Amino acid sequence: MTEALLSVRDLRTWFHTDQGVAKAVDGVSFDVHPGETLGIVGESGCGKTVTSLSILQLLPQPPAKIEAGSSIRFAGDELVGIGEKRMRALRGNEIAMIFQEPMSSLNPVYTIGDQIGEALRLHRRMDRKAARAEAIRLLAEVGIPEPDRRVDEYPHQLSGGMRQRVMIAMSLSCEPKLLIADEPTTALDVTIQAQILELLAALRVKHSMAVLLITHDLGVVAEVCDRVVVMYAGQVVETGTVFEIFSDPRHPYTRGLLDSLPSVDDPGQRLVSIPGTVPNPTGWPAGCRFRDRCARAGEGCEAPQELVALAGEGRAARCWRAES
Amino acid sequence: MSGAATTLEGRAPGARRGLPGGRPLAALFPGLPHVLGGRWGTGAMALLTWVGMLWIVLRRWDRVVAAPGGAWDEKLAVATLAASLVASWGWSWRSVGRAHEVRLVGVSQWELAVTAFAKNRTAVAGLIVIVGLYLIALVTPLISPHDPNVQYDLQTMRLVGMSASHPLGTDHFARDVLSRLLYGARISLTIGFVAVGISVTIGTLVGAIAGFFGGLVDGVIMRFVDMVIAFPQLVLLITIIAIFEPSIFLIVTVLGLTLWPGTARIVRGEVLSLREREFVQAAEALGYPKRRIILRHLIPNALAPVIVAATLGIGNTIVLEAGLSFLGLGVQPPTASWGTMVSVGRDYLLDAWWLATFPGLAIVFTVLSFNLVGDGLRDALDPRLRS
Repeated sequence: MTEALLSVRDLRTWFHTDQGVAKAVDGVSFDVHPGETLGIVGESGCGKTVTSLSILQLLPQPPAKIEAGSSIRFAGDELVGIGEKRMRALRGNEIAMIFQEPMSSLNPVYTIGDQIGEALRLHRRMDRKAARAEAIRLLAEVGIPEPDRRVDEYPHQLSGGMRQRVMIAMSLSCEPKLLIADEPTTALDVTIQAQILELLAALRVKHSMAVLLITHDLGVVAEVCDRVVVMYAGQVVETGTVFEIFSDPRHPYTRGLLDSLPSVDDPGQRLVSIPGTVPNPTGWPAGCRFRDRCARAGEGCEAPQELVALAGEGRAARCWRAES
Repeated sequence: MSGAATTLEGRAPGARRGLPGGRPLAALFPGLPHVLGGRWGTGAMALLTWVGMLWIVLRRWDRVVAAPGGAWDEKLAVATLAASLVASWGWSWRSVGRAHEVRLVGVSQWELAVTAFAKNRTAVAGLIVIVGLYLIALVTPLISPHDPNVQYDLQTMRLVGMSASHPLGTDHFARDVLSRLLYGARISLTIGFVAVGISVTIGTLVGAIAGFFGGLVDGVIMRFVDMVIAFPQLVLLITIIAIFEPSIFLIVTVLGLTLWPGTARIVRGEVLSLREREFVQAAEALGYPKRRIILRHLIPNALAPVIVAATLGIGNTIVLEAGLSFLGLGVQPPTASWGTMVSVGRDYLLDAWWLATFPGLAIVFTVLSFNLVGDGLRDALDPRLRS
């Protein structure tokens, strides 16, 4: 396989609060290869968003701290400790990010043309006129009808799906190599969700960029991802290709997530859910962190679990029973 | 889109169809077509400006001609005169011509706020009074009937009541009260405007920096703000003015430098909540410098409550200056200011009621207008209060 574009090793992002140290991300490792879509899946509170914000170093420090020993390598360069100035040069230019809530991710006081143009003028040194023309072209590219009219509209005049398209246009403005999409479709209608996912997939191929897709929706993962990282309680609990994860889940948590998807084949079936919630990050349980919610918990689960490598490239699960 | 559509529906009926009279009427009486067509606020402002300024040109032609070669305030007065004439006529002409156009694209939140404000009759009335006051203050050298500091015959003209040559009577030094009232308006309005301008600028920057950086920076700045607020303002003012020579410059500076903590608190609060909004995070994710995020993305969004506070603040500052002048610590004689005029008039309240009454009324009306506009702005800028 080609060399990884983004290589995260043993990332530990801890929040030092008055209530104790919240180990939101606790030893996460994964690779994103050029041009691929990697999905990070997990429930709320398992550390997906903190992982993505750590890559761009957008977390307020303090209280957040990327602990010593963590490594984030992007295109060969180490990002941890790189310094704010060089990090800022990467943001937007090399790594772009889109967010969950399109309602609040655009500045309400400027037209969308101004906002896309601002990125172009700052990063690509375009003048006002060229930036406007390029903004219109980008709006057309992300599928906004009548872009030369829409460019002068304000965010409050657009629907949620439109705004997410504008966000995508903004993030594309500097041709990034990696796009981090943090739950990009969660706040949208199902029909719009599909459109946005299709758009992301098409743009990924066209601009040959890698996408790191963060989501709790396995349906989204199945649709667009190449490989999947399942996170639980600040750790990676299972990795594999989409096919491997869906056809042969090895970690009980992954299995639980898949079981809680409604099935079309068997409509009368009751929905299964995983009992309980993600524990508090200030005090992860000793031993297997999923033990309290695991149906198969028993002897052997008291010890902290390591990732067990499985057959298949990059395939692993954090459960001592994974191989059976 | 629904927001824009309701806005247009909500306009006064006929406002966006042709206006009565059209361009011929607009050319003669700018603003009149708007008044007749239901847009009385902007229309009245244009019409009153036009008529008032024309009156000056006709009645005070000799002074208008002489002014460009005179003192700086006379030059400013003529410039104001010309600018208001051109502005009211030009605006009316263009606006009448574009009355049919219905705009659905690019309606900003500010434009929505303006529409909401225009529906508030008392606030619009207040705004007309304020604009009128500032225009009058600017063209005072052209309209004042007498020199404000000239003393007429102290034996015959002292404390004379209202007459044709002295519409508001004369004071204890036989000076014309109306002229002093007009010149006093310049002092009061300038002090209010400049002092609030200084305090709002400082307060906005300090508050935005505190809110954006948070943590230690925020702690240090806001404790300093608490300290400034805790210090009795009047005592500070009186002390500083007692040490230095009282002057308009000193009063403006001291007021400007002591009033900013209120704005700083408002802006900090706004920025703290805006900071959590995703567009700020998005700006950071796009690699924009911090200075740019604060100035271009945070402050414009935090401005609405600042504008309201500033408008109300001008009113308060005018009262404060009047109070200082009343105590003899403000503007020094013979310069006219509303505060000193009330202060002097107090001694003659039973013999010459006009001395304290008119400057007092001027203060009341000015401050009332600012408060009405401030309230209207608050309603218009807060979407939750918009009906």
